[in-house]
Amino acid sequence: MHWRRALSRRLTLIYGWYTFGLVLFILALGGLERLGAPHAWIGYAFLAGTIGLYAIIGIVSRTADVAEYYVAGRRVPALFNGMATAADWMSAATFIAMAGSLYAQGFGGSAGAPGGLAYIMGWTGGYCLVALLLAPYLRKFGQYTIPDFFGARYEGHAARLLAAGATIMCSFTYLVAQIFGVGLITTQLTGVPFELGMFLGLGGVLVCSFLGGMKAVTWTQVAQYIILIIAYLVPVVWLSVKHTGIPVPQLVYGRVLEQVSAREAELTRDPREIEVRRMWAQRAQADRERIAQLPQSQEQERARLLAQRDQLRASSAPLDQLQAADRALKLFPRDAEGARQLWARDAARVAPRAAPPLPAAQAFPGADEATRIKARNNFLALMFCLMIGTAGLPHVLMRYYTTPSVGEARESVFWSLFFIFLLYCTAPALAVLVKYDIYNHLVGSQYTHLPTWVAQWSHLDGGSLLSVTDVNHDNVVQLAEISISPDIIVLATPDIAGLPYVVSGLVAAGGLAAALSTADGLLLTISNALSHDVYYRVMHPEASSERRVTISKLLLMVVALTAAYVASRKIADILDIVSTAFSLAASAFFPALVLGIFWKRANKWGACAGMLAGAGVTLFYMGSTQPGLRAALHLSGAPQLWWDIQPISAGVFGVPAGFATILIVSLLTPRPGKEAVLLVETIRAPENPAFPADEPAQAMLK
Amino acid sequence: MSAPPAVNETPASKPPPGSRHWRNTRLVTTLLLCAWFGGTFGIGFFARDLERIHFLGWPLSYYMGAQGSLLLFLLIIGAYALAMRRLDRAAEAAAAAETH
Repeated sequence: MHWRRALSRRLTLIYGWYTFGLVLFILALGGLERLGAPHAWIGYAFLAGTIGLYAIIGIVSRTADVAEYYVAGRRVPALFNGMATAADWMSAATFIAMAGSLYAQGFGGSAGAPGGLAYIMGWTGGYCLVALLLAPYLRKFGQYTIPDFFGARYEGHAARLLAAGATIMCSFTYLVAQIFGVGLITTQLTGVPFELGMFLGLGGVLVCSFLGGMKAVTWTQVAQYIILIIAYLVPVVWLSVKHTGIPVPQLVYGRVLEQVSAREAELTRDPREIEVRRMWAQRAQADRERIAQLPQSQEQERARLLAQRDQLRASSAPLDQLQAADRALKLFPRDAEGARQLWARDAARVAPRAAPPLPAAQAFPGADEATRIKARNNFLALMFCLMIGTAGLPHVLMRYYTTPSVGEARESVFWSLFFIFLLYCTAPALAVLVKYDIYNHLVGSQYTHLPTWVAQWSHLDGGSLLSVTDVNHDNVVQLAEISISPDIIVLATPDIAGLPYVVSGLVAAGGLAAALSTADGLLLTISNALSHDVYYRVMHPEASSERRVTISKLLLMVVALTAAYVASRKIADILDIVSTAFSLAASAFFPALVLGIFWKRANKWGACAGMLAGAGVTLFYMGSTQPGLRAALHLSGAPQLWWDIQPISAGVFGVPAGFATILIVSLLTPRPGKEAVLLVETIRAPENPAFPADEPAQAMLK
Repeated sequence: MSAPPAVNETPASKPPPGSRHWRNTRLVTTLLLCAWFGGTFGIGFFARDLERIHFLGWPLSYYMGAQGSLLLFLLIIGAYALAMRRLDRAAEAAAAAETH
């Protein structure tokens, strides 16, 4: 008992000094900026400083011991494990995209694209399930990986291998998304090419998890949490002071939200806004008409561009106009199919801008009752998948193996949610404050006097992130003339708030910390599933502990490089990939885990069939309804939605299918063996404080 | 789901101490899961009705989704940790009383 308190005190001291040092580092860079240091230097300093720090933690906590490598020696105090879990949990998507989704989708998005608060409630509500149904029991079980539980409870290699396969599938998709995020942020921070940025970031992760496994990853994640929470809070607090005079945005943005809603109603009725929206609708209509008139329309358009270029050339127009006409001609597709794609893309991009903005606070807006109910059902379905998925993601559950006792595992879930809450209750405040700023300071301003951040951000990535164009040529910015990618809301907040560049660098470093901490946890989960479950438990049970750790480290490298390769191909939309991982984890793991603990009669046949059925239904629904996957599978015709539920929430069908299959198949097949029943009784029994919680379960596992 | 029949010297009328702990655990878990259900699906389902009530500027449904439910989740998990700590202690005391 005594060593626990001493360790907690020492860790508090270390991380206290670390936070102090971090603040000094930021202030020093801020001072350098004042003295005229170029922005690129500050970006490099943040990149080198943070990644170097992670590498140093990795070197200091290097280990070759099995328990240290897989579960950090089961010594991590509840509070610090909570912090590490929060960093492990909050990914690039949370840090960068969540506030953007709240900005764009308001309360809960629409029937076709649910989102908004469903992410906030879903990604926190899942922790109730982790706390009440899983974490204490898994800690009592006290092994190394989640497939370990399947192997012991469901007696044998079949369940273990299925669980390992599902672990790898959902963690790998998630990992690719993180590495993609690492590349994006590093590029943004320093201006290096995407691939190089990806490998620079990855280098830091690798040194850390390669040398020290779970032990190093845990202590790095605590450090990363501190960076990311400071980075998230600073700009929002600043915006809050600017607009309300009070530095606690979470408490006061209710009033701002009221003003935003009032302004929104005003803008929806404004005649100039209506005019601009009508012009977008016309453009989308024109695109559709031209598609209908292919192939003639392609030839006509090409002829028109040619004539325009020739006329400019003949009238010896200024060089830049001539070049623009030349480029337009070169970029225009040379065949009907290319033109069709171009116009379809344009129509898809333009059509949503013809609609008035989604209300910031109103729940489930819609033209009629049926649309509103559809929006509500999709909101509930998405929330369901995110919650159950949270309770099924192996890299999160694995973290609760690392606490010293079952009681601390329970407390640790509390601390995890507490630290997650700090960021999650700030994200809506950020979205509302940025919206207030844009509605009141950007909308209605003159095109000749645009705020500086607009110019800065519309240069990036060819204007696809932010574009403000005077559609109706009245020299005044209308809301419908602004197109802002939700992904830049968080990264651009320091510029919108008018903060110095050092804060922009800090926010990017925070986003990097969020992506790297999640990537670390995922990498470890995948390589452990391969090395511990597949190699050691199934293929070579006689392997020595040093050999196991060595194999694990080698696999870690292979997995990291494979994921980097996949990420560098930039194949699909990041959010789509991540949502696949959640629905898959929900339907493959959650039913078998929960029934394994709460229903003694569940047996291996039921569990294996249930995992296959759950994941199968989810994958089938996604494959047959998601546009990207449909195209990849060459499916034609309109997708058949079940009860109008969007593919993002496929788990809503997979989870019940998993539960039902386990119940039915278990009852039709023989009872589980004596050892499995004994295991269930052991993990349910109260913890005996006389000896550490893992011993009874371990002793009986032989 | 019932506990296996006692085969040791414990009289049949008195259940083994472990099963009482498990029964109470299930009770605590069920109650808190109900609170969780209300804070998630309940709020989501009735969001449009809750919207008419205002709370410090927020429509109540938005406040719950953005902050209130999250605080409720923290409360649920905290209450669970405390309740289970007490149940564990009670089971420990019962086990100690039995051995004496």
